[in-house]
Amino acid sequence: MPPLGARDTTAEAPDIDDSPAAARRRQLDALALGDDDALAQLVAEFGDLVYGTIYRLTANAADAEDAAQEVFIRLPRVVSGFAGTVEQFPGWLRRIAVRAALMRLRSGRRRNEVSAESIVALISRPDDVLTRLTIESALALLSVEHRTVFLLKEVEGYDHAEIAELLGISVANSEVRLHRARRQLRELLRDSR
Amino acid sequence: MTFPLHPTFDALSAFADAASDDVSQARVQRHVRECDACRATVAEIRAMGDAVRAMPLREAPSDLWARVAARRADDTEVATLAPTIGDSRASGAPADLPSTPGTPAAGPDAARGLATPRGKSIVFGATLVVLALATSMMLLSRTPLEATGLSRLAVSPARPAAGGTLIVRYSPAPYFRREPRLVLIGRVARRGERREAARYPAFDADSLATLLPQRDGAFVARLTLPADFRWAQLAVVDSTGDRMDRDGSALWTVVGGNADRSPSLEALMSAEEDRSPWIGTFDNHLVAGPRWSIADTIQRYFPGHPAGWAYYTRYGVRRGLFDFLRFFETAERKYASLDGSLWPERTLDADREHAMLVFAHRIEEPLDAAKWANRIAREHPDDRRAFDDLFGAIRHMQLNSTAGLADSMHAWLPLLIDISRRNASSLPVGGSTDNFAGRSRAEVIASLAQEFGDSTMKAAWPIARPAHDFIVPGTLPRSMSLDEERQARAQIADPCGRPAGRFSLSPGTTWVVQFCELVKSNLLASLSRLEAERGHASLALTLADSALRTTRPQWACVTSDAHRARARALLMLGDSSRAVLDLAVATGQSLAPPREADSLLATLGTASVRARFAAVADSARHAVQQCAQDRRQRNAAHADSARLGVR
Repeated sequence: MPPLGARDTTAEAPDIDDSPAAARRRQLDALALGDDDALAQLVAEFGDLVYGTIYRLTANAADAEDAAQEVFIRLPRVVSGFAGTVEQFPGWLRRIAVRAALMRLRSGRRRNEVSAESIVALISRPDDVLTRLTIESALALLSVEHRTVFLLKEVEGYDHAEIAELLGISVANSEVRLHRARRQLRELLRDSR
Repeated sequence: MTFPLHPTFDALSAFADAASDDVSQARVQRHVRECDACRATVAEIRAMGDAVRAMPLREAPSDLWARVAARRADDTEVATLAPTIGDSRASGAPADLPSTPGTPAAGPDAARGLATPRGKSIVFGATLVVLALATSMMLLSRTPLEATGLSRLAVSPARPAAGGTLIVRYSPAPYFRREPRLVLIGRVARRGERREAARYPAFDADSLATLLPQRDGAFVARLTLPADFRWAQLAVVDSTGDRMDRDGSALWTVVGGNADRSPSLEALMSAEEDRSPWIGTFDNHLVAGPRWSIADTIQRYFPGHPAGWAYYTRYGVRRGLFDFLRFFETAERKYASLDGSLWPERTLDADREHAMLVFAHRIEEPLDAAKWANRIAREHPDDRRAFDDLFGAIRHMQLNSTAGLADSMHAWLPLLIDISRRNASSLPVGGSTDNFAGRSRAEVIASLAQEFGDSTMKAAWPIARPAHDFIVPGTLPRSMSLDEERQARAQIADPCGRPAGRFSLSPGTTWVVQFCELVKSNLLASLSRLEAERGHASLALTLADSALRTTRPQWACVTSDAHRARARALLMLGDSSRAVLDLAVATGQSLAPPREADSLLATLGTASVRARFAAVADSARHAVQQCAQDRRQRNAAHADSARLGVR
């Protein structure tokens, strides 16, 4: 048996085209072939984006962690469906993360965990001038339905038709949820002042 | 200017989102332009959006990649619960693919009315009862040694293709956490390769790669696999090879797949059958999942293949929920089902025939095993397993005193001889045949010929091994054949140190070196006796002295063979006074004192010689007892250090 000697884990094949776009394209091609290095690099680069997006929607670290893992585990299988330019990849990935978060919220497999912010918000009396609600902790106090629509609209930039499709609700319902979310947020933030 | 009616909050909210030229918002726009309060509300609504967009994203956990890598490896092999094996596989879809949401399966349940609310409630109730029972049994029967959680070693891809790259990620055991680097060792099996059973523990593993520490505390190595890769058994050691981490009592096993990442039956079968005989035989878990074995994978991807059942190790209800569910599919029923479908087939490959034989052995059906062994021998006489299978079946029937064996042997014995002549007749008999394991095929045929053969057969296959001894003939049949002598001389010439790039997969380096020295010492004693038989007394004495000078491990307390060999040589040289001392030591160390000592003392029997003999024997006896006691204490200490990975 020829020696299977130690391999240098840092050795990389030389790139022909050094442009970032070409490098990204190669990386995605490698990922589609199941290359673990490519996946590891993407996890390092976009881990925060995916996890943060999911966390924002689920407001639960354990759920976010599980869903982020799901996204990256399935990424090699779905990346071949990405038809955009490499610059559009982060946005595409973010949309996948959103869908993963929504699936998590729908799945009923949510972890029974309450975020520290929401606990602080719950135990803080509204008239306590020393404790002001931040927008994040106020968001955590919204119902899942309202928070989801609010974040999809305000942060992720979906319109009501898209939100309706994503959540399986009517456009009017999406609009109503958004308005109610805003009203509740406004009241929570006002009360805390 | 004031307005009697302000727009509602919802209207202002909608206005805040609308484009500036949205005519549907013209009325609200006019109001907001004039109304300070409503303008403030709109500004507030927009500010909330800005604030939430400005929120920094939460940082991902630092070990996200470690978890992804571990789950990726895990997901590839881990099957779903699937208590009804046939159902989940009928679609041909791997069980680890995500199910399509929102597409309820209109399967056979619906046809049976189970999709009705009442049917569902019945099924749900029954499921609860079964789960409750299963859980209670699992809690009662779970063994403390059962592996749980993820393996410390993760590989990616879990089913690597030949010629590809394997990334190995190791989460170190506590005793390895501070190591600057570790060594990934193992055996890499290639296509067409069959590893011979090693007689003694040896440096039987290659150093495959250096595991380097990462920021998150894990160690990572990248391994380029050979173009004909089949499977690998892996372990992690420190640079000395004395501390090892592996998958419990077994090694981490990685089985290669096809280029499209599908599992390879050939590789799975090879991994199941050709792994080392003393490591992992009873614990064939894959790296990808502590609960899922090679047999599980064969069951899952090749559901009609008997190997998935033949090598399956968890029938019954001893290990929890899965087995409880499998209780309804017992091994016997499965065997009968497979036998019914496979036996009538006109042509059947050797793999399936061999698997059916193994399965028959597993369920203690020696006649069925013999039936399949006979079929392999006739249809695939060139297959490497044909001899062991037929001899194993015969031996099994012998041990069970199965009626009719003698009649069958008239046909089987010539068949066995024919197979042994066809393929690799120099190979020793495999490990499944009790005390015949390791003997040559000629030897086992001779033993059967002497028991079952006619006079011609007995004459043609005599028992070749002579049974004689130098001083007391017949007591110790240890004389060497020429082949054994050649091997012994070669082994004595080989150094015992660990060769560069090689490690041991079972015991640690120190132990293997010590064992090698001990074997050398014993071989020297045997060669001494051989030379004595040949009349070379001086050479015999030299060899016996060498045997006694060889460094012996602390745990080897008895040197009686070497002392007896030297006594024998000394007697041949006429130095009976020194011979007495060696025999005294041999006597003191032996449970059954050598009879030659009595005859020698009777010849030389002065009182002083007898007294000296007794004193030396007593001293040797006490030394052995002390040595044994020390060994027990060391073993107890070793049990503690085993927790620290020291082998």
